[in-house]
This record gives sequence, C-alpha cells and structure tokens, in this order.
Amino acid sequence: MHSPRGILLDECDNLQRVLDETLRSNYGLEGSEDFYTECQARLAYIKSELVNTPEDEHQNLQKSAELLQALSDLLSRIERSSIEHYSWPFVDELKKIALALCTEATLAGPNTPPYVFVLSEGGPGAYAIRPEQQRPSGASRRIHTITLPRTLKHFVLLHAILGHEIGHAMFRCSKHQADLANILSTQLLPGSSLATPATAAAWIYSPNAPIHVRQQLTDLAIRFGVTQGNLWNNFNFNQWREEILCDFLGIMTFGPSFVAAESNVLYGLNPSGAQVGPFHPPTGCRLTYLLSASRLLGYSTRTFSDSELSKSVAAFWAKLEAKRPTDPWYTLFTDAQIQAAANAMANLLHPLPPASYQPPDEEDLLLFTRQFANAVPPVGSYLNNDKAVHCRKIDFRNILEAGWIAATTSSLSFDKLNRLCEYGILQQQAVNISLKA
Amino acid sequence: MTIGYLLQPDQSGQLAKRFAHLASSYLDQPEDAQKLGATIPLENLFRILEMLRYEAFSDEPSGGIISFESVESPLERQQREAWHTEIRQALGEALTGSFGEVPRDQAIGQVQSVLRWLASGTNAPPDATIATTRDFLRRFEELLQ
Repeated sequence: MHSPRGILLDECDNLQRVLDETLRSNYGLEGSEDFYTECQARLAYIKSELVNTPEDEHQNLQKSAELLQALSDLLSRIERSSIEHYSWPFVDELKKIALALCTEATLAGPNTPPYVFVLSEGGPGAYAIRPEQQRPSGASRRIHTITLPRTLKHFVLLHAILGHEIGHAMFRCSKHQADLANILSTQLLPGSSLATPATAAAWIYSPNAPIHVRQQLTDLAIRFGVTQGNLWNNFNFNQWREEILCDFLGIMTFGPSFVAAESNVLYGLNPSGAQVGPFHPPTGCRLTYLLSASRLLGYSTRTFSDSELSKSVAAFWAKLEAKRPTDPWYTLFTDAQIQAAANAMANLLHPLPPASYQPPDEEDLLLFTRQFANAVPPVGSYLNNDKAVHCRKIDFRNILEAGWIAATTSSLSFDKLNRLCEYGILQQQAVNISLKA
Repeated sequence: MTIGYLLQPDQSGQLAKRFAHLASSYLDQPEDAQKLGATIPLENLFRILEMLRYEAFSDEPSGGIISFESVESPLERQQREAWHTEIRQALGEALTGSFGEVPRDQAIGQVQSVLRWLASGTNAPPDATIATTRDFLRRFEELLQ
C-alpha cells in the first residue's frame, strides 16, 4: 500500500508523462516550449515540496495535493486545445490586443506578456477568458485561457464579444487594476444607481422595476431567502462593477462590432434581457449604456459622403436601437458619466497599441461593401482600373464592423458572412506581411 | 458526483509564508534559486508585491460573458473577501519594519531587485539591500500564520 505522500509522488511522475505527451504534440500552441518550461517549473516545485514534507504533515501534503490537482487540470485543458476547433486567424489578432493589455512586471522584466492558449468548448455561453489568479499559487508566469464556443467555430462576428473578456484579464494586471478601478469609482459610478451596494439594491428592488425583474426577485426570495437586505451577501457587487467596466473596455477595444456581438449573444441567452444575475447586471442595462456610449463616441451618428453607405450604417444602428429596452429602469448612467468614463479609458488604452479601436475609413468600408456584394472576403487588396493590385493595411476589427453592417443589409446568410470575414482576416494577415516585405 | 468533496480553504497565506521561507533560504544558498522549481516562490513573491504596490487585490475568478450559476454560497463569499487580508497586512508591516521611512514603492523595488537577482544570478544588488530584504522576508514569514 502507498502512503499519501507516495501516492502524490507517483502522481508527479504521471503528470510528467502527461506533460511530455501533451506539449510535444501540435496543439496550436504558439511557444509550446515556454508552456513546457513553465509547467515543468510548477511540477518541479511541487515535487521538491513533497520530497521535503514528512509523512505526518498532513496539512502540507494536502497543500501539495491541491497544487498537483490544479496543474493536472491545466494540462488537460491545454491538451484539449486544438487549432482545428477554433478560428485561429481571429485568435491571432485577438492575442495581439490581449498581450498589449496584459503585459506586466515579472522576474523576467518590466513588460512580460502572459502565456495564452485557446480552448474550444460548448456553445455561445462559453465565451470567456480565464486569467490565472494573482494570489499565491503554484504558478510562476501566469497562463490565460481563452475559451471560444466550439459550435461557433467560424462565427468571428460574434467573437468580438471577447473584447469584454480581455477586460477581465487586463483587470487582473496589478498595474492596470488601480487605474481601472479609479475610473469606475470617480467617473462612472458616483451619483448612479450603482454608487454603493445599498443604492444598487434599492434600484433593483424598486417598485418601478419591470415585471420580469420583480417576478425573479420573488422567486429568489422563496427559493433562496434572498431579499433587498441580504442581496449582496448572495450576489457579488464587485463582480457587477467589474462586468460593467469590461463592457466599456469591450466597446473601446472593438467598437461597434462589440455592441452588435454582445447584443446578439446575450439576448440569445437571455431573451427578456431582464435577468438580474449574481455576477452580471441585466442584459437590457448593458445594451442601454453601450448604445449611449456608441452615440457619445460618435459611432452611431457617423455619416459618410456615400449615401448608400450612410443608409446601411444607419440601418445597422437602427436594428440595435430596436433592442434597447424602453423602460427607463434599465438606464444606469447619465451621458456625462458615460462620456467621462469613455474618455478616461481612451487615455488608458492609447499608449497600449493595438488595443484601441479606430473607426474604419470610408474608403475601406466601401471596398468591403463591394467585396461582400461579390461574395468575396473583405480584405485590403483590390485591382484598380489598370488591373494592378493595390494593397493596404486594415485592422481586423474594421473587417468585423463591415461584416456586421453587411449582416443588416446583405442577402448573404449570417453563416456565409462570418466565413467571408474569417477568410478576410486571414487574407489581410497575408496582405500585411506583403506590405512589410 | 465525484468520489470525494473536500472543503478547500484558501491557502494563499500559507503559500506566501512558505514562499518567504524558501526565498530566505535562497539568500543563504543562491545556487538553489537557480533550480527549476525555485521560480515559483520567487515569482509569487514578486507578484504579491506588485499587488501591494498598486493596491490591486481584486482577484475574483471571471465566469464568462453571462452566468447561469445560482446565488453564491456564504463560504464562497467569505473566501472571496478574506483571501488577501492577512497577506496585505503582513506585507505592509514587514516593509515598514524593515525599510522604516523608505517610501513604499522604493522598498518594494528593492525587494524585487533581490528577487530578480536570485532568479537570474545577475545584477547583484548592494549588500545592504540584500540584508534588508532578508529581514523583510523573515518578518513577512513570521507575521503570516
């Protein structure tokens, strides 16, 4: 029979074998060797602790058991990461933004990017970025997991919602957390319904709340004993604030595509938009402040010299506006609060290229419109009248934006538009390489 | 149902204490700091010092774009709120005890320079900085339960 320590030491050997098998294969991990070294360091630490822990120190043995479990969970997630299951052209571009926002000081230097890998699982509700926590753990360099829905492999237009998730990872970087928290506490929340837990609870339990909300609150009281007085003992007020912050980071990094993606995904999962979540505010509130921000940032009021393009863009925003709840209960912030928060975030993101969203040129949108009309991928490459090839650098977020506009006006199916945009992002990467050469 | 369910209290404080102990031992035997597993205690200490520098202790797990979970259990909430209390206090007290009037940012920078030296074996800081860091690590370890 094995002793508890013997079992754990055996498990270290097992993990070593899994590590060797997993990271020698092609799982689409850029920098597999870095992952291997990081995981080796984690395993070496646990093993040395176990070797030095006497059999009767049960608490310390349990600590090592937990670290081993966390490492085996991580390795099995990495093992399930396969480039066959997600849109790698999109992920390549997303990583550039994530790395710019999540670079932090480590032993290696003042600006160390995290390790990032992609997991594909589930459906639309699976979108997530799970940064490894900052608290003491068995990790040296942190490894962030981007989760994309397996069923939405090619739906890059919806993937713009990951602008929100990158925000969570950014908020887990110490150097950004204080600035972001300051934007919330000085620009956005003071004077709003969410200024304090008490004002937030009073707003949620307001007699003017929509009927769907009041029904849910009654249900929560009956099933879980949740009331206005103990709401934040059961729900997470800080997480609510962080979710709102991440919505703002989403629009500041992905622009209109983010608003469209979030609206489509969230209403798909919660059609009434009224669900008061333990960690998230109601979808209706989120769309309300995102649409206000779109107006204040000039996204939804933009006009073009080409009248057809202006009409298409107006139709896109009109469709989103149609989803905005009419009940004023859903309005959490004033225009002034939204504008101040957006300005502060723009200042924070500006020195971190390519994080900030930049609206596309009219010329690019017109090019994409012609390409969609011919059912070809939107890309910054075209033949001029002399049949000479012209190429220009275009940000992938502008391709997504054009895709969303086309989704409002084009006869192409949403699936087809997504695939064209995915090919467009891939081809644009080739164009960008040729422009650098 | 899994074969067993163990309540896993947050072990951040215990880990931080152990990491401080190990980092102290690396000051006595710097060659040990070059071993593969030694980056774990050193990087963790570096990271919690960054958290202190920026007062950035929000570290709740992110659950994705929308959550289907039900309400949070009291145990989960307690753990969420309490994980950093002891570490934060111990870091602050140990820094003040060891570095006195030195501004906090500067003191953190000095400890981090020693951690980087241990990890890389290059750019040795002045002996006085190493001695103060040794004192800081001892105090930090003692202050944690």
